[in-house]
Amino acid sequence: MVILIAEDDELILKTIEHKLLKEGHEVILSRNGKEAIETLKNESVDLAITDIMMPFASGIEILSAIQSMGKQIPVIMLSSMGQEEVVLNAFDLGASDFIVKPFSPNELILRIKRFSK
Amino acid sequence: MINSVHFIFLIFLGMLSLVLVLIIVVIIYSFYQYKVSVRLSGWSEIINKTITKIIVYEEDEVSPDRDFIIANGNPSFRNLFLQKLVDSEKKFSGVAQNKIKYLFEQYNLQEDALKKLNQKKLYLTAGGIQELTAMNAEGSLPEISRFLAHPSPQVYQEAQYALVNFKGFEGLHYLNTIPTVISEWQQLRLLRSINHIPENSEGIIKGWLESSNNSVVIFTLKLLRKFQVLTVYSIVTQLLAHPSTEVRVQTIQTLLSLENPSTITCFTNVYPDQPIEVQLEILKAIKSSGDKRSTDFLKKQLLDNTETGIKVCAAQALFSLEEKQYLAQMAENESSSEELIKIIKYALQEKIC
Repeated sequence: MVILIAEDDELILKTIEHKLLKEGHEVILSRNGKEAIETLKNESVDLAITDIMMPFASGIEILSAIQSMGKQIPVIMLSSMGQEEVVLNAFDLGASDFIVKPFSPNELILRIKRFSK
Repeated sequence: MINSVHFIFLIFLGMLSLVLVLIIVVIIYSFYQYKVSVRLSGWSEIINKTITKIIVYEEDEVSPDRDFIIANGNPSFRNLFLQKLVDSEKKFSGVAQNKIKYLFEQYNLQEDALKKLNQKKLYLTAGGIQELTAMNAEGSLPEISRFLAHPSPQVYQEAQYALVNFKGFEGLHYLNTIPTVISEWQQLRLLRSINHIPENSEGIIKGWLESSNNSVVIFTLKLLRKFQVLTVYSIVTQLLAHPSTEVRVQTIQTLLSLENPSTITCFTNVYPDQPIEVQLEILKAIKSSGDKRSTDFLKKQLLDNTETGIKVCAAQALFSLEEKQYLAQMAENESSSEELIKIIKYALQEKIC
């Protein structure tokens, strides 16, 4: 699978990247929301993992962008505690799943496996 | 004339030299700052790489990073490493979190954190305690306990939190003797860290409820609410006569949370002897309990009490007890005072909106 990771925290970004590479996925990294939207426009992506709070464009804006592009890409949201309302909003906009930080990278891999079947 | 021109020229030259010296100092300082930031960013990258590797790969899959080994000899690098581990611990859970703690042990960072405890700067001492707590270094508990009686709130609050974090309810033993106020924020942190109260703890809890430190009593009441400790209900009731109004208000909230069929009757019995803050809390408690036996009591408060706040609360409670019709009648009654009509309309309007 080609997976886009949009995350502004370098440690989380790199950890997910290495974890996915180890699992045999192809990975595209974005350090802000705007970059992620550009990638989604230009590249073929099978799944996106995105943080909710990011510079330039939020995870919610990425979801809206995917909707307006008419693409059917499953999106896993990375949220922090206390962002329940934003998560609900994300589901309305077509998010497929969410995972709360602090999170277990192993659990993220299990969630991704559901979409690769 | 020539002398004065010469003097002005000398002053000008002196000032120019001073400006030049200042410019050089600023340039040197900026360069130094730049070098420090480049070094820190390089170190951050090395540390992130190490943390990522330990989380993602198994131990036998990871080869030692040469840059990391070289930098690890530098105390500033180790300090940054320690900070990064504490930050990372908040980002991951499960096995990944355990692996971060493993790094802390593997590189003997406990010693670095313990050294901070003996620093004169208070923020360093508090930071050291935070780091040891975040990394679950339970072996350092005797060292941390020394700071429970520290004069700085910043330090002793971290020590209190550490004890509860490691030992749960048992870690609260300092409540027996603590002379300082436990802040609201600290109470929340402590409450969050306690997952259960062991059986047969009533004796200890009773001691805290009798404490001369009001913040200890209030914290204990919150603890009883969280864990629904019904066995101490009768002891809590005695606090309705506590000298502190704040304790009495918290007591009302606690008794309501541990409610039994006699709770509301108990409230209405003690009501006349209470200050207005406690009376208002009792009215709020009756409202949320929905106990219809209190209707007459509330009507009396609405009509006879002289305090506007009490009347408003009583009207709101009556509305909650489905006495809307009575309130509407009172509002239309010509003999009702203008103030009473306004209060009732306010209570009704608020609910209708």
